[in-house]
Amino acid sequence: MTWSSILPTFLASIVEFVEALTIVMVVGTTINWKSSLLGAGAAITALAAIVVALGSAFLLIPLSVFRLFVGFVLVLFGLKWLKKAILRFAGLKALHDEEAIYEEEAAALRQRGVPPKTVFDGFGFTTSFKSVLLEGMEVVFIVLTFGTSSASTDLEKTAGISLASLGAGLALLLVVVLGFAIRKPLTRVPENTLKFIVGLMLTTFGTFWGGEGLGVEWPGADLSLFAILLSWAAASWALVAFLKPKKETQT
Amino acid sequence: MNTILRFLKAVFNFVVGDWILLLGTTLGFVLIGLLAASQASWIASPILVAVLLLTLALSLFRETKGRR
Repeated sequence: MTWSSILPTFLASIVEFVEALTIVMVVGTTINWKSSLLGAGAAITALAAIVVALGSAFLLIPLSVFRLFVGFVLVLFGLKWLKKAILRFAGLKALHDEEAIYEEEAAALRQRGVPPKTVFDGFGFTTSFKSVLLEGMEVVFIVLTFGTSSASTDLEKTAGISLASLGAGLALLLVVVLGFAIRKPLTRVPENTLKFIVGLMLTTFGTFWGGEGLGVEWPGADLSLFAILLSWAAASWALVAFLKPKKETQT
Repeated sequence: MNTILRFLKAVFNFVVGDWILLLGTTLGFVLIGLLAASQASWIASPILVAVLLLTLALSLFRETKGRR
C-alpha cells in the first residue's frame, strides 16, 4: 500500500539531505553563515516555485543535464579551492596573495564597524544555492517516484505523495538536528584545514554529480562518494608532499 | 563588446580563474561523456577522477614553476 513509500523515501532523502548539508555547513563555517543560508534559502524558494509551476510535469525535467551542469561548475569551484589549499599547505604562496588581501579587507571592514564574517559572499551563496537546489530536486523526484509508484488512482497518488513527503520531511528534520549538533565542534577545526576540506568536498561531489550527468556508472552508487573523496585526499596530500621538500631544500 | 568581454572575464575569474583547470575539466567531461555513451561506461568513473587529478597537478606545477 501507499504507507510503504515512507521508509524508502525517508532513507533515500537522508542521503540527499546529508549531501546538501555537507556543502551548506562547510560554506557556512569557512566563508560565512549569512551567504550559505541565503543560498540555501534561495534554492528552497526556487525549488518550491518550480514544483508549484510544474506540478507532476516536474518528472519531465532532464535531471541528468542539471546534474552535469552543477557537477561541472562544482568541480571547477573545488579545484580552485583545492589548488589554493595545496599551495598553502606546501608553504608556497599563490601568485595573488589572497589571504593578505582578505586580511586587508577584513581590517578595513572592522574599521568601518562591519564584522567581515557577516558580509555577503557571492561564491558562498552560489555554491550553497546550487547544491541545495540539485539535492532538493532529487528529493522531489524521490517523493514523486515513490509516492506514485504503487498507486493506480488519483486518490492513491495524492495519498502516496503525502506519505512520501512525510518521509522526506522526517529525513530533513533529522539532518537539520544533526547539522546543529556538529556546528560547534566544526568551528574548532583550523580554518586552513577547513578550506582544504571544502576543496575536497566540492571536488568530490562535483566529480560524482558530473559523472552521473554523463551516464557514468559509479560502483556502489552513492557509497562511491567515499572512494572519490579518499582518492582526492590521497592525491592532494601527495601533491603537498611533492611540492614541499623542493622548496625546503632551496631555502 | 568590451562590456561582454569584461563580464565573461569576471565570470571566468569567479568560477575558476585558471585556463588549465577549465580546459582540463572540460576535456575530462567530454572524454567521459564519449566513454559513458559507449560500451565501456564502467571504466569511465576511474578515468574521470584520473583526468581531473592530472589537471590539478598540471595547474599546480605551472603555478609553482621556478618557485620550488
